[in-house]
Amino acid sequence: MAVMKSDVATTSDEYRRNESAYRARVEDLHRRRAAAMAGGPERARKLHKERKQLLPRERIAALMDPGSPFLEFGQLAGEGMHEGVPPGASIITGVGVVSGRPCMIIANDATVKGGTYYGITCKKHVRAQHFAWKHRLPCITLVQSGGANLPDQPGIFPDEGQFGSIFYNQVRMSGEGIPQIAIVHGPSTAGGAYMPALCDETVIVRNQGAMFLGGPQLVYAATKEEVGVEELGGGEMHSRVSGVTDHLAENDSHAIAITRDIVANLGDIPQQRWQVAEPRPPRFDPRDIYGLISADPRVPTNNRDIIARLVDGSEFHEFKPLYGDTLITGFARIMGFEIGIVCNNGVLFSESALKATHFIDLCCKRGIPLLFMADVTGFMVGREAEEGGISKNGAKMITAMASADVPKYTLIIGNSYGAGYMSMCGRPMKPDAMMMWPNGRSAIMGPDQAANTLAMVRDEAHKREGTSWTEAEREAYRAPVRQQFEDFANAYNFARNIWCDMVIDPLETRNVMALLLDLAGRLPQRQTRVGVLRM
Amino acid sequence: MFDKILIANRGEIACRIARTCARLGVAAAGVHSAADAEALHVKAIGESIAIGGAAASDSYLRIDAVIEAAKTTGAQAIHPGFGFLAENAAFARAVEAAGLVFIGPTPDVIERLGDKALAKQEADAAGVPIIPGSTTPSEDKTEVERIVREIGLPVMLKAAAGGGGKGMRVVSTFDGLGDDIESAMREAKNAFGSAGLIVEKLIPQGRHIEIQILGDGQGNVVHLFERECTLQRRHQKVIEEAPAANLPASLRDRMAADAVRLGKRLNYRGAGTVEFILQDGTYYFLEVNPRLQVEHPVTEMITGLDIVELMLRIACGEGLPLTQDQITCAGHAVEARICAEDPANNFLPATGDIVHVSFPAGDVRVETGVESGSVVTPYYDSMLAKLIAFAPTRDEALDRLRAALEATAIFGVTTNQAFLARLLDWPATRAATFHTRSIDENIGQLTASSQESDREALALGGCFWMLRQRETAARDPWRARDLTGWHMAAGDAGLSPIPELHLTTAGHSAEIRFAPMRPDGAMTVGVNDDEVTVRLEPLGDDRFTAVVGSRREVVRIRQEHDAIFVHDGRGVHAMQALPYLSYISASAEVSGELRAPMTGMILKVNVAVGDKIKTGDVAAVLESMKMELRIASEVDGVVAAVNCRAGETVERNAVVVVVEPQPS
Repeated sequence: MAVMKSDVATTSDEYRRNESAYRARVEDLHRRRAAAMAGGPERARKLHKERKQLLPRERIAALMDPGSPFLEFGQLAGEGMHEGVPPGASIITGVGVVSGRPCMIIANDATVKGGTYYGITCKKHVRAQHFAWKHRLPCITLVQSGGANLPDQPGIFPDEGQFGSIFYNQVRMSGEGIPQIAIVHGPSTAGGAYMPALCDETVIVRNQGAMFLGGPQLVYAATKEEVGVEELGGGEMHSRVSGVTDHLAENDSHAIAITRDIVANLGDIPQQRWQVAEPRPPRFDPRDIYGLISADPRVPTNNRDIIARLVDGSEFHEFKPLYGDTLITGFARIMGFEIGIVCNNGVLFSESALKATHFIDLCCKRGIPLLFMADVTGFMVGREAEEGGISKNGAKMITAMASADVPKYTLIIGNSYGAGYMSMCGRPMKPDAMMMWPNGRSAIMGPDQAANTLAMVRDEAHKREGTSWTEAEREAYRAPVRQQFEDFANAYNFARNIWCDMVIDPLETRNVMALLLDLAGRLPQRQTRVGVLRM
Repeated sequence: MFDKILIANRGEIACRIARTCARLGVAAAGVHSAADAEALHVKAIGESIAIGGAAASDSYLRIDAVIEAAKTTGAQAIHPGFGFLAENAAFARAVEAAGLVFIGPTPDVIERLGDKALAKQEADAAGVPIIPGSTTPSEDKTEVERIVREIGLPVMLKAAAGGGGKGMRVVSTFDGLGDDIESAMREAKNAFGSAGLIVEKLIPQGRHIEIQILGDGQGNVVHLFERECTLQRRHQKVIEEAPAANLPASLRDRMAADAVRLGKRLNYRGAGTVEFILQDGTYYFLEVNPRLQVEHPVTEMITGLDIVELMLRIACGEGLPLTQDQITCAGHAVEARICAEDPANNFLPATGDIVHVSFPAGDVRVETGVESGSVVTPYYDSMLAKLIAFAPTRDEALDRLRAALEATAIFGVTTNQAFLARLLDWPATRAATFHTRSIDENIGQLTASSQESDREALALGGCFWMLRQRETAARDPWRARDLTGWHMAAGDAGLSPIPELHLTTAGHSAEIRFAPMRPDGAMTVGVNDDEVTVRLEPLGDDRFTAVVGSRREVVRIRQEHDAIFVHDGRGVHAMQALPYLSYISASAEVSGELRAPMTGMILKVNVAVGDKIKTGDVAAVLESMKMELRIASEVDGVVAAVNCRAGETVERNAVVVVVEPQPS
């Protein structure tokens, strides 16, 4: 395959400026991750350890096979949303290998507000389930949660995608033969009790885990019956008397050992159906990406140089290189996995959209997964564009992309604005996973455009009412709008709201893609049924 | 020459004797105990007769069974090797009575030399200088005590019937003298059947020089020069060499002449060794060992002679084929004894399965009694093999031996290899400024395990274990080695939040954590609270280049079941690997269970149920491998159960006493 050409002056001032700016971004990412990994406050963690319990990340590490990678979803969810809740929203979700089989692990963190569910916690749990469902990954839930965080009721109780969906997803996945397993590590009341009760196989820890629809206090209030926690819903009772749980463990680690045995008996592990080549590093050093990504959002990055640093051997079979060249399309391998890349390199024109439509169709016919690398401010506007039918051509691209039933991944490597976000497989288009680099930005429009647009609306109002405002007043109006859009567009805002699954260092991209693609390649191929393409 | 002989021994010496037989065209048969049916010597000899149970007293020490084996196999003569029946006059007599030839001295000579006091009298009579002390053995405690006080400290208590460095005890203080004598008598009684002791003035800074002699039993005696065996640990020879370093020729000639004169007086037949202690140019007679010595190869190397061949020729009546003039010596030879013992644990004999053994090829003489798959049992001597290096000069010979030691890999049982290596590097060894107590006086320095090297070995063992969990060139990234431990990094080392492995080595254990593998293959390994960054580059088979910091070293690492063996320049580090989850699921709270460190017989039980016991108090004494081992409490508390009684044999790891921990 053709090796890309990509000569970069790594000694230029611009490169150095970019690089140092990017290093600062990565350090910032590390700081946020460290806060997520620490979990709850020191005091709570100490108390947890004193009770001879493992911390949630320790439980996960013990559960996974030694040396297993852990691909975490929503690591920075809820960052800064609730007082005293570190990034992660009191729950840890991610894929790791258990007894030789990749599983979705969902662990409550009891050191954060007792492991209670906020709205964002529900969303993270449900998102993990959706990923597991799509990839037919067994779900192992490590339950230790005080249940719903009551003041956040609107985000938890009434709607689809909230707490109740956890149950629904468990039931439906179980129905489809996707194993649902739980360990009850702590008291689980009401909704918390249903989570393990709705599992295929459940482990409970003696004198530690408990399950009941109503706790002792509620029972007393309701019926005046006096009963202790262990009697009412302890491991011994549920494993011997009620039969609610299937395995009784002596402590956390014993429970985890039992769970590993459960996973070891789930039948055959699905086989990889793709022919994966020997992974080869890119010929060009991926570390250059730091210096290549423009630190100034108004100066575009040459994304062909970026592709050359992400694909095996920097080998890229480009499709239609001479046509619609603001969009790069082509085939490559990442860590041995074949993939079709759709990557912006400027504004989307009709030709770019048509090329994308053609290329996505090729990938669907060939069963090759798609990676959308978004760096786009939007579709071209103007009379020429409209006359050229950019609306219907953009529609073709969106139809092809949304219809494509091959594994799809979105990586926002720069801007992803407006209809560009949609057509480059933004979150609403349900990519199998969506990642952002720390410099990634996404919003309806760019901050300047938003400020200008809103200022123009007000200009119109002034004109209608015969009033006017000074340039200083106009700028004073624009500045906060610009700031608001900038804050909104930030990758961490997307991560906080789980609008993306993860913010990753560009240097992690190849590994993340490999882990994702391996999971996708163990599923049967699906037939793409394309919506009507407006000709 | 004989048509066929019986080799009444085991281990390396049986193999070595068989080799000479094969070269001379003499057929050989062997014997083996129940524990040795699969032993190397049985295969090396080719024909072997089972002569009884595992314990030496049930097999290799059974005179009737050995003679019966010789008759069964049609052997004309019996070579006893060393140890077991080699110095047993009754055996030599029985062999002759059975119409067979005993390859060794006459029973009468064995008897006289076997008695320390008589031997001393013989030497004295031959005009050989003897050490001041008692000349007749005594079993009377008070008499021995009186003699000790008469001679003055320091003295040596010797089992009159002992030999081979066993049954000797130094007394340098009058405190506890009674106990020392009692204990020496008990050991002598147990080991040699007689409690008789003789007392000798201790030569505290002496060198051990011995002369190899050969006699034809007709009055002709020659010597094969000297050997130096000064490097001893508790009177057990560790490293031997020939010739002695820096020994003035005149002194050597006098010692050799004395040895030959004594040999002639005894009308000596076969191979023997006259041992001397030398200090400040004065030497004294120690004893005569009427047999082949462990360290005989160094003499063979410098003289070019095969002592076993000469023994056979003498025994079959060919007489001495050489005159003194024809015996010359050239070059320098050094021997190291590789033993299954744990220097970190007071040289406690080690047992177990040898999962892998490999010796260097060429450049060094290897005498081994074990091979891969051999089992080291607690029944016999702990020596596994000998390495003998020969070179024009002493320095070169030491270098060669050091290199050979490094290239020797024995996995499965703890050995003294690292101790030997350190001993060879020791300035006192290099400069030959040692005396017989040098090792004992510096034992701490010579066995101190460097925490850093232990840590590195644990890190390497851990890294190896982790690599084995992962697949080398997997295209499945979830299992690929390159993505070991991958997770979303937070800028730190990224060690796993919980240990993933528990490693136990001699004496201590470590919790091992792993950081994700770096792109260059390096991995930071957390060893308890320390971090070591290591990289293992496979070189094929069990060899790797280990990169630790700026140092690169070729190491061997192997895993057999749960055991990992890391063989680096400091020796073999054996470690037991237990995945952390299994470890924490299994580990009980601290218990007061006192276990037998090895299989052996309980000599004494010091406690009864209900007794208060403190940390370090000896609850029971176990005898194993001719050693008294103390089983001490590791906690303060009250004895809750006693599961053994004196005289009872207990298995390794058996719980002999249970202490209920109680804070004092």
